[in-house]
Amino acid sequence: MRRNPALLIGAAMVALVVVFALISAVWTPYNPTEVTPGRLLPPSTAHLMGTDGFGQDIASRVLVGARSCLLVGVVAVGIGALLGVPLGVTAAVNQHSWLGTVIMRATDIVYAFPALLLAIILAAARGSGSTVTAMTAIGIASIPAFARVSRGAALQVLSQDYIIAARSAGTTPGGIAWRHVLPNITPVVLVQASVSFGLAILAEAALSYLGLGTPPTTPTWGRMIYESQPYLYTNLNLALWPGLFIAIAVLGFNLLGDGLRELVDPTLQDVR
Amino acid sequence: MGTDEPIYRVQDLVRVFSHGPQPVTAVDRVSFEVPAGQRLGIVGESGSGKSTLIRMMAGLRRPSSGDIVFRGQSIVGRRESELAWLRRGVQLVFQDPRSSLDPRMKVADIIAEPLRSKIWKGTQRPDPASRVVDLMARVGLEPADRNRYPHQFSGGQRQRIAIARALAPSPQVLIADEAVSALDVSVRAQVLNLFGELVADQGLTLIFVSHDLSVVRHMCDAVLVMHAGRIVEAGPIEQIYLDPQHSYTRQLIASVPRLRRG
Amino acid sequence: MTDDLLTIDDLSVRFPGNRHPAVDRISLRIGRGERVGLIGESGSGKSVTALAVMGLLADNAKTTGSIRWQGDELLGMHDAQYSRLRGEQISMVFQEPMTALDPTMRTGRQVAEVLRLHGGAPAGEARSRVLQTLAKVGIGDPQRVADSFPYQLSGGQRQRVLIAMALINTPDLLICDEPTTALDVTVQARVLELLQGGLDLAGSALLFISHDLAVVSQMVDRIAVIYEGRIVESGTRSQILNAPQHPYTAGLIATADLANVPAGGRLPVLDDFWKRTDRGH
Repeated sequence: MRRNPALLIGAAMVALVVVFALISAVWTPYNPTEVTPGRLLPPSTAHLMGTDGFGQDIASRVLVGARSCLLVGVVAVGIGALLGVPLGVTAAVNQHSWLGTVIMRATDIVYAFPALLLAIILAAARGSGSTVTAMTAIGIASIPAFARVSRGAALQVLSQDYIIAARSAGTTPGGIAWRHVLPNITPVVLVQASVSFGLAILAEAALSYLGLGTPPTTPTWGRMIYESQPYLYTNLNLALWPGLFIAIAVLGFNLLGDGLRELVDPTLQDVR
Repeated sequence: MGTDEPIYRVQDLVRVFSHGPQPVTAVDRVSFEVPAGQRLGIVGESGSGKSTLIRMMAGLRRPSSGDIVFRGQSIVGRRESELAWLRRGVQLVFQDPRSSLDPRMKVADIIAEPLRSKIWKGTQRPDPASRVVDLMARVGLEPADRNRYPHQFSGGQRQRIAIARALAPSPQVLIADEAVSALDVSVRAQVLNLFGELVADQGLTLIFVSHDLSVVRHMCDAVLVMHAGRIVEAGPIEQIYLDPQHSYTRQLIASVPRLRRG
Repeated sequence: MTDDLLTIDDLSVRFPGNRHPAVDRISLRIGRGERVGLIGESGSGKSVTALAVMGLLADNAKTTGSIRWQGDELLGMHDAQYSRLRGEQISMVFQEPMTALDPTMRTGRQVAEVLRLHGGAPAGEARSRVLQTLAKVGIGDPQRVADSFPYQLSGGQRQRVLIAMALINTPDLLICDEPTTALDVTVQARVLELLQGGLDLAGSALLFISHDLAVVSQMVDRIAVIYEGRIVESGTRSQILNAPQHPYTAGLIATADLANVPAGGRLPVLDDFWKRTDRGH
């Protein structure tokens, strides 16, 4: 625990969200979308987190919301990293040629588009917002951050003598990127991933709030905060729970990223 | 190829860098020959062009003009795929033991990298695992340590790892680029002795680059003195040391710090 | 005794997580105008000693013992008080000129900052003092160098700027930690020459720290040898270099002089004189 508190605390928080998501796949205390006459009830033994403006059980909705949270986060970071990191590394390797410049200017252009704008465009193209358009939009919006961060770290790595040694050993440029550059930029990418995950969750919440994300029938934490708006001064309950779990998810992934970074660093494995 | 053919022939070699505001001529019409088995020193300071010169000789940089002939064949203007024999034949040992080894690779993998690349097409590839053990023993390291990481070794030991890596493909030429300059003076002697033994045992040609003339005097038979991209003086080491002709050479000799006992 | 500037007594420095102390009960005295060398290999604790004197150790370092400056105890002194000493009475020159200078500030301003921090010159006089000092450390074109950013200067020029910064307030003690190790050999010779000149003019005492015995011997009158945090031998330069008592010292001397061995022959190594403990080399 003393060695790597970030890893353990982060993992615990993320595990909580994952457990919620898993449980919700097989069981929830109540049907999360069942409208009942018991509206705006405070937390009780019957409804652990109370009910919302439609009489829906908040706890059940929180459980199901964990699923969307993870889905959006993983897909968005996945798109961002799987496309962004190769772009950044390619830009670094081709630093002095047109290719590197073109890649970075293209990512600059995407960077200029807030995820929101992309989501609106995608939603308009499809006819309406959906989980897929939301995830895609957030994913694309994450690419530039990964590309930038990977390029910077890759440039640093490429200036080291062991890269020249690798060329002298006959390693191909692809081999150098795979065996030398990627492992050495991993810490930086992990940090970016944890940051991007947090941002993705928040972005999804904003999109749901605006009706551009998941359809109204699917409970997401963002949508729940949107729906809690009319009751903010009277029933804080409705905003509190989803807000709390968004915070736990974002913080958990940030800490996990920090912890993983320490874990994979061989220079920190020694205790003299 | 006759036995008198020099292992390297460099002719009118030029390298100009045009990145910055003004083009810089790092290497300015350099010509010389290296007989097989010679221990050649290249002395000069930062900006003298010596690092650029040896990178061109190792096929890691393209010259702007001129020719480099290694073992009778020109290496200039060739594609990477045609240079496998050069990669097997010429290896470098770099100055900084901290940046010349990938911090995330195990020592065994670092040393074996030249044995796992594609330069062995068409020839017999030595077995990496046994070669690593042999090489580590040869350079005075404990083979049992081969699964450790570079940061777990001292500077002198890391240089030995770098030397083991350079020897892995059994090259004919070893180029040491300021290989002891980043080490403590007290550790230098060990690494220099190692170079001496290896070169003698395996009949290697050694090209030893340094800004310290006293080290070069100990290690080499002949020397090239470089300044501002040109060779200002060349010849057998004792002759240059005892009777320097060029003012820059004299300056270099005078700058070597001597132990003041009095 | 009354002329002692710096008295280090039984100084020990420990860092958490390390089994051995970085500095292990060392004692050292430097008198007014004296030039003392501290010679040791990487990791011997020599830099930690210098940082301890300057009060620049990391917060998690545990120090015991005593460091007295002109009678006052430095250990435990508040940083505000310490800052008044640094740059004015005790100055330090580090190894890496590129990282010791602020890349976004012109060098003239950086030298002036040191001057002004210690109230060294009335307004308006600062620039001329700066240019004077730059000229004294052998910079041929003080105007141009003062108006340049660090990246526009060569390694030797940057190191000279650092020396100027260190000497401008004529400190009583100058500590140099491997000041020329990163420089080319001809530049090193020039910088050492200028350092000597600068010290003569300022009348400062010198603590010169390095792993290079030949360089140290050029600069100092007394030498202390540090190994694994302990001082194993100390004495005058002549005593140490001509009649070393400790085998480690003998080893350092033997490895410092390549010219004694016939070319191509086997050089003497440290292990011939002194078997190390298993900290690995």
